[in-house]
Amino acid sequence: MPKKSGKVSRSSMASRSRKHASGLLENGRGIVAYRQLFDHMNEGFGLHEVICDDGGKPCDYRFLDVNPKFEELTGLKAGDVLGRTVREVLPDIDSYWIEELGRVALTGQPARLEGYATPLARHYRVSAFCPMKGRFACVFTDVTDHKQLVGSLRESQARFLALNAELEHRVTQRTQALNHLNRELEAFSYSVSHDLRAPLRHMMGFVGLLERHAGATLDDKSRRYLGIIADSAQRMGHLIDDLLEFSRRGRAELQPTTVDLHALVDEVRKECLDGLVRPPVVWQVSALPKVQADRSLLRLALVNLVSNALKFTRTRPEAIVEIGEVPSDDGRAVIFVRDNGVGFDARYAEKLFGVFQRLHAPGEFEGIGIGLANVKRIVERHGGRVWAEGVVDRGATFYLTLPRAGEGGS
Amino acid sequence: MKDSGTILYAEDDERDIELTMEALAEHSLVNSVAVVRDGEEALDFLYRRGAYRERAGEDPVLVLLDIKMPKMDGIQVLRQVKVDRRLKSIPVVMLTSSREEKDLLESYQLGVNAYVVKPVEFEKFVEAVKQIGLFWLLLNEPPPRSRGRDGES
Repeated sequence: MPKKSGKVSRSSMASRSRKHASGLLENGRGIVAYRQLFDHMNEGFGLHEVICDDGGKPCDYRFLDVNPKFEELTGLKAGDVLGRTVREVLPDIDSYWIEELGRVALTGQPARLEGYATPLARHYRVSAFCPMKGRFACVFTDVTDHKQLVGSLRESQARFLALNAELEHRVTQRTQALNHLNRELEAFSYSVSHDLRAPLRHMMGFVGLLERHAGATLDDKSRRYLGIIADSAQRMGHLIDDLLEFSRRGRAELQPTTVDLHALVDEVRKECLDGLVRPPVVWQVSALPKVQADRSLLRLALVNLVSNALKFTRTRPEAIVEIGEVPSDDGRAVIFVRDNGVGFDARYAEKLFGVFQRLHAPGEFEGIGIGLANVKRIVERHGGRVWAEGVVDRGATFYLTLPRAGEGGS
Repeated sequence: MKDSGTILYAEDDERDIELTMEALAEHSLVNSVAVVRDGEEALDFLYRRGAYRERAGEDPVLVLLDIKMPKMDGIQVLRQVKVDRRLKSIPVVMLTSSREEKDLLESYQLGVNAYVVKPVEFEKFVEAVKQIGLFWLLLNEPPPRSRGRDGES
């Protein structure tokens, strides 16, 4: 085989490297070195002679030489294959290999092949070239593991894509369901705002007309009854308005910007003091951070908290309202509003934030109990939290957490 | 008091009609109010169609529209009035139960002249109706009177 290869090399020398290689073969040491390379290379190597049928088409090939790695990668022993044909050794060999490798031997055109050898149950990547007409040499590696890896990667990818599609589908479905619900809710509140107000207006309207028609003839008791009817209808009107407002606020889209909390608190303080007859208020407002929030919603929350503080300190000789920030370790701003008012029983702290929950009798302090529910909803829509601390007759403190400016809104 | 012409008032709720008529009567603001019960009837009145084919007199000086009405609602009536060359100069006031943003926005986009939410409290309701009457019938200078049926073209 070295002799034959040498001939091939000489007959086809074209490049410097080939000249160099043929030089190696021309002395004994070179042949030994070449044989060593052949024996120790990491790729399988085999030299074969193609066998053609009567029509001149490749139908088999004979093993002329193989290296030790060939034996390792194919599981075939040199002694069992040399001089024999592939069809003799592996009767089930895929004709793909015979056709493709035969073509290399007949045309002299080198080829890179990759394929599965069924009888060996292995995948090979083969570089085939033609050392002389009618023969081909193969340098090959076993890529079965690589193929399996690629196969399982493809499978994972397909699974991943399927899962992804499934998720997308679910998201679409839920979004549709949510949109549907939102539209229903809108239709509901639309209907409430139209249809629930009309009967109230009629109650009050006809009470008014009755007072005009019969006012003079009514006794005090009857007039008081009419007054109660009108008051109740009016109160219900306010309930409906506030509920609708609450529902609207919950659906409105958040428009977060950087909000200077200090400036906002100044604004809110002025608004809450407007026109109220009350004891003097001592404000203790410390430095406040800039936060990332929807300004108008945050304003509403603060108005609720500050007006609450003013409401429940009304019975004090002097109202003290403290607004500031407490240090926190989770990067969020924790703001508090504290008053020296009538406070509340800490056992009911959770109840404070429910819709229409009140901890005081209606006659004691005005309001219908939706303010803190609004505060809670607004803060939660900003990804924050609210809680309250209080002691009966010793004041209350309300806390809320908000994203600091620059953190990005939620 | 000057001749205040006719108000066209579209409202499906009998009680609202009674309250509104009381309020208008209290201030003797109008000579006549034509009450229709839904939007379709309102347009029939304005176009002298159907039951109003033989209607005499000029176009109303003011149209008061409730929003929620059977068949055609107040917004649809408003839309039609404001795209009609003859009718669009008649002042239209929405007199409705709700301050729904969607209704407000749509009404103004269609060119409504005023939007009034009926107050729940009776005294305020009477006052609101009175103000509407005072402003649109006495204070506001109306467009030159159209010539009614022949004014079309």
